[in-house]
Amino acid sequence: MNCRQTKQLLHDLADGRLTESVARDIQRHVAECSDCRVFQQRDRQLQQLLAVKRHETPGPSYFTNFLSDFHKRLAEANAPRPTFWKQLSDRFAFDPLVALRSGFAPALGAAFVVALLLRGSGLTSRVEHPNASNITVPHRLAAVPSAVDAPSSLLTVAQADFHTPRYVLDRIAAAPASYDVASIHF
Amino acid sequence: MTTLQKLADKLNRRTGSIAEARQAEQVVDLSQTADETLVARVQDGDHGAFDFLVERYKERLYATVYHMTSNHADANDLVQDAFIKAFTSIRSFKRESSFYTWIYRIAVNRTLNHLKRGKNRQQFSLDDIDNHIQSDPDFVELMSHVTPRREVGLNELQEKLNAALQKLSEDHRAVVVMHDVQGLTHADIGKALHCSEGTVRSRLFYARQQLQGLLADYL
Repeated sequence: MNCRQTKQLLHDLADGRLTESVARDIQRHVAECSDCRVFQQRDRQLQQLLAVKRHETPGPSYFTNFLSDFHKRLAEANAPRPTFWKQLSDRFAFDPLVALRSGFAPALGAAFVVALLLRGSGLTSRVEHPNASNITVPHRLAAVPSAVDAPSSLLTVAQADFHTPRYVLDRIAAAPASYDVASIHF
Repeated sequence: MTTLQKLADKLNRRTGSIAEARQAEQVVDLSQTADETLVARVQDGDHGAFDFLVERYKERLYATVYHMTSNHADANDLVQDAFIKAFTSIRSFKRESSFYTWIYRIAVNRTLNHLKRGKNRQQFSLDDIDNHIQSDPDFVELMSHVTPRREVGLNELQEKLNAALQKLSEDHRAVVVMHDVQGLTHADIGKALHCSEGTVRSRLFYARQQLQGLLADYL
């Protein structure tokens, strides 16, 4: 019987679960081995220390509401699950009417004012072109068909304004074209 | 049959049905009823019978889960969860084991899953120690030796012990709690944890070794 086997069987020895011959072997080993004797003593003290755990008890009123809490939780567990949209709206607390009142209406008003201001200043005009869609050019150029190689009928000029030399290329379908003033030759 | 007789007969029948209804309304005390009968009643649709099972086992289950979590709130939640799980799946309970073994297994496995997911609250909320500890022979003998543990208060000792238990792995802690604190046999622990007796013994051995190291100052 070696130390490891002895240590593993010490509890069975204490509980009387070993055969006589095995028990005798272990007792002989413990009597001769100080390491195992210390282990046995510390193990017994550990078991005594664990007795503290057996006396930990919740307060007398701890279980007073246990059954009613159980019923409540059971009812919640059995309640039908909310739909996806309900979960989503709950998550973001989204109420269309509230949103309309608090966020959408002011945004719409602001957009309207900006549109009015833009329309009043007449900053840009749109040019319809087969190769370059949504090209915005200054009115000075838009008024000149050869500048963008398009029939004059396709050019629309909202207002005549020649003070804004800004060219914005939103998207070009074919090859990129330069609308730099310097590159345009009349 | 005269009209008067017919009326009397009708009245008797109505009185009888009212008495039957009153009898049905009376709360039946099933606190002394065997688990098997209660389970059969629940399986037949008498949901109120489950309350008696809850009342019967809530404290024992709480103790097990509490020792594994060292936390009041977690223990309460997990025991409630175990009862809900048992109630919702009671029809699948084949009565091959006792109801207590079945729900004990549910509670322990849910607690182990909870601990392995790391969802337990980090702070202890420990139960009080009852007065009976002063007459517990194990505790009396422990305190009779001259060691540092005599200098520390009981509450500190309790905290150190719980802290040491929480340092064990969940599986090791479970076997220590079930065997050394609650006194279950190796075979019962093996059944509850779905492992062999040899595994239980091995885990116990390593857990105790580790606890000896962690609590060296108090042994």
